[in-house]
Amino acid sequence: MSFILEDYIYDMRRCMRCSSCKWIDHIYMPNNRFVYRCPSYGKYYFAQVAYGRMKVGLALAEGRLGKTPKLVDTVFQCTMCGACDSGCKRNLDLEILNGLETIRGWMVEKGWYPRAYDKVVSSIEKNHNKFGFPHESRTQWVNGTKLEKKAETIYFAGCAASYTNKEIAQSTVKILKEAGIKFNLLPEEECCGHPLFAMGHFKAFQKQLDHNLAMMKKTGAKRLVTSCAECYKTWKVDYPRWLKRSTKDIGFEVVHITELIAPLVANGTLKFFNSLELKMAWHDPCNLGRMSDPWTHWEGTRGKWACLEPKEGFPPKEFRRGMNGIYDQPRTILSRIPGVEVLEMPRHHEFSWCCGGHGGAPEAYPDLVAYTVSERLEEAKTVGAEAIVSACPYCKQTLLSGTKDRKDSFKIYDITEIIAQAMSR
Amino acid sequence: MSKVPEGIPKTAYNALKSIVGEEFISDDPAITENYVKSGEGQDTIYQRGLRPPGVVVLPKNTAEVQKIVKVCYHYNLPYSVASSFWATHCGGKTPFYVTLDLARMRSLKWDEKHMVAIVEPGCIYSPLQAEAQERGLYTLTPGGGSQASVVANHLTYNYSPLSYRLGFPTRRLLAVEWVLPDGELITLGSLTNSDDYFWGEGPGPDLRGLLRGAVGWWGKVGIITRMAIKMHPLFLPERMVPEERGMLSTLKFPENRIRWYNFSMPSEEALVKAMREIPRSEIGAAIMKVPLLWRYRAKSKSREDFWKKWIEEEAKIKSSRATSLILRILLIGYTSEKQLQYEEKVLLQIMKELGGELRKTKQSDQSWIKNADSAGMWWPAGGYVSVEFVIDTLSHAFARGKTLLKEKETKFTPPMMDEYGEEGWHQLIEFGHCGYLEFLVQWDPREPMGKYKSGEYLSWEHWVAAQRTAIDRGQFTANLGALSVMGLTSEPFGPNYGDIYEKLRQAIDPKDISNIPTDFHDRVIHEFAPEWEKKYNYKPWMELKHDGKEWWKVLTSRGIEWRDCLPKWYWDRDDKEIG
Repeated sequence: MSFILEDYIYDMRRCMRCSSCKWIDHIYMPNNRFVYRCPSYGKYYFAQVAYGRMKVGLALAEGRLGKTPKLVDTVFQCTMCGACDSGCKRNLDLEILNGLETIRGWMVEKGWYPRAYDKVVSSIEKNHNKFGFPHESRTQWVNGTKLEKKAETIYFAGCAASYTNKEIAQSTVKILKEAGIKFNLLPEEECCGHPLFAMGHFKAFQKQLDHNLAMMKKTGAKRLVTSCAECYKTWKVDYPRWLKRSTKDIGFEVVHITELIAPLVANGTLKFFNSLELKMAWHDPCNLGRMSDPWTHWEGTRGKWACLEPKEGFPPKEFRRGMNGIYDQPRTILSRIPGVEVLEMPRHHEFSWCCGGHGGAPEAYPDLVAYTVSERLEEAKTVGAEAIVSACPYCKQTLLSGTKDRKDSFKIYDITEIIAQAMSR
Repeated sequence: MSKVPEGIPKTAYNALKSIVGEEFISDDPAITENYVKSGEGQDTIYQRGLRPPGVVVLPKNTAEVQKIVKVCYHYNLPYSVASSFWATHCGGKTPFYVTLDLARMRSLKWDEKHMVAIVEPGCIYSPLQAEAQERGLYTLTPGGGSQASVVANHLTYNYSPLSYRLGFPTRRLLAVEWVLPDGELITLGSLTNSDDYFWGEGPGPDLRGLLRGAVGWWGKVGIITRMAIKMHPLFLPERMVPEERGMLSTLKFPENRIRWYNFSMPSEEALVKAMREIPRSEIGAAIMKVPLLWRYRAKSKSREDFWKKWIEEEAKIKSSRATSLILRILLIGYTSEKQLQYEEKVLLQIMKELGGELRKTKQSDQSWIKNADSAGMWWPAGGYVSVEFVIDTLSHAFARGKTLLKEKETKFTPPMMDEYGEEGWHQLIEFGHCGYLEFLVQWDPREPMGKYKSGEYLSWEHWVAAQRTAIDRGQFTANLGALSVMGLTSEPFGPNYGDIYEKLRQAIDPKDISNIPTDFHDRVIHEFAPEWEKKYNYKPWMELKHDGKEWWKVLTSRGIEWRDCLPKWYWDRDDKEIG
C-alpha cells in the first residue's frame, strides 16, 4: 500500500461505520466494562476513532474539509495501536491503519500536526534518539560486556534500552549469552525511526531507515534481534513497506528476543532455575502482536466487484489481519518459569488494549496516555495480577508511570528481565 | 411545522455547553463530518440526504438529556439522537440541527431476581449477552448486529432467527424512562411509583404501545434514556466458550444441548413444507433458509476468494437448484439433553419424509447468540440494501420473494449482482406464526451503472420498483414505513397509519423538532420531491401519500378490489397457515 492519500479513497468510502474498529471482538466481549478496543474513542468519543478518521480523511481527499480548529486533534489524538485495523479486517478487509498513517503523512506535509512533535523530530535528527541524549552515550549500557567481532546475529537495542531502560538491553545480552547465540551490535546504531513513522514524518523516517539499513548491510549479518516491540515492527514491517519489498526479501531475518528463545525454552535448551512466585498478567504490545504480521509487498489493481487483481508476477494479496504476530512465544516462555502464573486480561491478542505510550501520544496528548494506561491497570486488577509483563520498553515505561500515578501496587517488568532473573543460576 | 432558526444561535450553543461541559460539545466540521454516512454507505436508502449536524453534544445522563432537549425546545432547534449510529435512521436531514450522541450513556444494570436488564442507549448487545450469560440469562442478538444499541432495537425491528422461539423482543419491554420532545420526563410501568424497573404495566393507559413496533418511531416521540428488558433463562448449565480468532472467532457449542442442522432439500415445496412441519411439531430454536451468497461468504477467506468460488461455481449452482435450497435449523435442549435428543429424532423423521439430506456444518455460533455480523452485508460487493423485509405469513414471504426476484432479474441485473435465482432470506418467527422475507441486493458502486448512472440512483429505483410490486400484487411491504401501503391508504386498509402518526406527532411533538426530519417526515418529501421528480420521476408517487382517496383510485384503476383487499389476502392466508 502506498503513502498517497488518494490511494485510500476506496477504503475510506467503504467504511460503513460498523464500529468493529471500536468494540472488541463480540465473541470475546467479556462484560460491559472493557468493551472498547480503541483508546482514543474511550477517552474522547466524537470522531476520535477509525471510522471518524476515515470520514475526515475522505473529506480531506475530496476537498470538502480544510483545516479546522479540531482537525489536528481529531486525527492525532490516537496511539496508533492498530486495534482498529484488526477489527476491520474481521469483517470488511479495509486498510485502516495504512490509511491512518497516510492521513497523518498528508497532514504533516501541510504542516497540520501537533507542535509537540517538533522536539522529537529535531532530537532524532541531531542526537539520533528521541530523548535528546548525546549520541555518544548510546552504548554506555554495554558496560564491559564482551561482544563478538563478527557475528551472524545483530542485537538492535533501540533508543529506550540504550538510554532510559538499560536493564532491558542488559537482560537481553544475558539471555543471548545463556542461549549460546553469538551476536554483535549494529555499528553506529541510531533510532529506528518508529516515532517519526507513527507521527507521519516520513521524510525524517527515511533518513533513519537509510542509515540503519546501510549499517546492517555493512555487517553482513543474517539476523537482527530486537528487544523493543517498536523497533521490531519498524524493521520487520515499515522498512520493507517503505522500500516496496517484502519482509522476507530485505536480506536478513528480523526476530524479537521472545521469538528467538521460545523454541529453546520449549525444547529445554534454555532452563529456568529460579522460582518467581508471581501472578503475571501478560500485556501484548501492539507492535509485537497485531501490527507485526510480516509485510508482503503487493502490486495490482482493483477489478470487478472491487476484487484485488495482482499484477503479473505477484501472488494474490495477503491481508495482514493481526493474526500472525508474536502472541504465543512470550506466553510459552512465561508459563515455563517456575512459580509464575500467567493471567490473561479480558482484552488480549489482536484486540489487546494499548498501554497508551505510542504513536506520538506521550509527546502531544498525555491525557490520552493517562486514560489508556489507567484502563489497562484496571483490567489487570480484575484478573488478580500482581505483576504486569510486557515486551517493549515503552509499554514498561507507560505502565510504570501509570502505576505510580494511581498508586497501584503492581510490579511492572519487561519480559527480558523476568527471563534473565529466572535463568540465573 | 416549527420555525427553524438559521444556524445555531450562540446563546443556545453556550447553554448546551454549560450543560455538558466544553469537553463534550463540538461544532467543528472535523467532528460533525463523522455524523453522516459518507462514502458508499450513503448510497443506501436510509442515508439519503443526511447532513452533518450543526452541533454534537454528549450528555452523560438523563438529567443532561432533559436539559439539552429543553434548550432545543426553547430555541426551536431540531435535534436527532444517536446511540450506536449503526443504522442511521437517527441521522438528520435538516440544516442546523443538534445531535445528541448518547455514547456515554451505556450503563447496564441487573435485577437478577426478576431476570431484568436495565440498559441505557449506548449499551450494545455483546456485553449484554456476556453479562447475561454470567447470570444464567440470555436474549437474542438481532440481525442489526451485536454492535447495535439494545434500547434502539427494542423500539424498532430487533428480530433474528432466534425470534422463532423467543418472539419479538419489543414484547419484553418493561419499565421505561422517557424524555419527551419538550424535555419533560415520563416514566412507565413500575417506575411510575417506585424506583423499580421490574414491571411494564403501570397506572393508566400503557404508553409502551407508542414506543414499540416492527418499524417504530425512529426517535420522533422523544428519547428513551433507560429501559428495562426481560431476559430469558439460559438453556445451558455452563458458558459457551470462545474459540478461534479474527474472522473465525466463534462460540463453541456444547453439542449435547445445542446443535445446528443443515439440510439440502429436494425442492422448494419440500423446504416450505419442512418450515411448516417443524413448528407444527413444536420443536426447534431457529429455522431459516439462508441465501447462497451468505453460505459462500462463510466459507471464504477473503472477498477475492468469495468471488473466485462464486464465479467458478456458477454452472454448478445454476444446474442444481437444490444446492441453494438449504434449510438451516438450530435445535436446543432447553431443559435437558433428552429434549435435544427428542427434537433431533422428530427433525430427522420430518426430513426423512421430505427427502432432506443432512449436510455438514460447524457446531458453533458465529451469529445470533452473542455476535451478529451485519457489516458483512456490504462485504461482497460494496453496495447493499434490503429492498424488502416483511413479516407476514410463510406463503406470503415466498410469494413476495418471487415477485422481487423477477423484478430484480428483469430490470436491475446487471448492474445488481446475479444471485442465480435466489429469492431472499426466509425464516420463521414466533413459532411459525410469522414468515419472514428479507430481500437483500448487492452491487458494486464502482462499476458503470448503465442507464441508472450511479449506485445511488440504482438502489433508489430498485427500492421504489420493489414497493410498486407490492401495490400491484396486493402484497404487504414493511420497508416503506409510513410511505408503505399502510401509510398510503386510509379506510380500505383499516386504521390510517399516516393519520394516527400525524395526530400523535402533533400531541407529543407540537414544535416538530424531535429527530427531524426522518424518512417518515413530510419535510423530507417537501424538500426532496422536486429533486426526486426531476431525477426519478417520483413526485406522483409521493403525492399519493397525502390522499387516501387518490390512492384508492389507483388501486381501482389497476383492477384491485380495495374493499376486500386487506382482509382477504391477509386473514385467509393466516388462517390456513396457523390452522
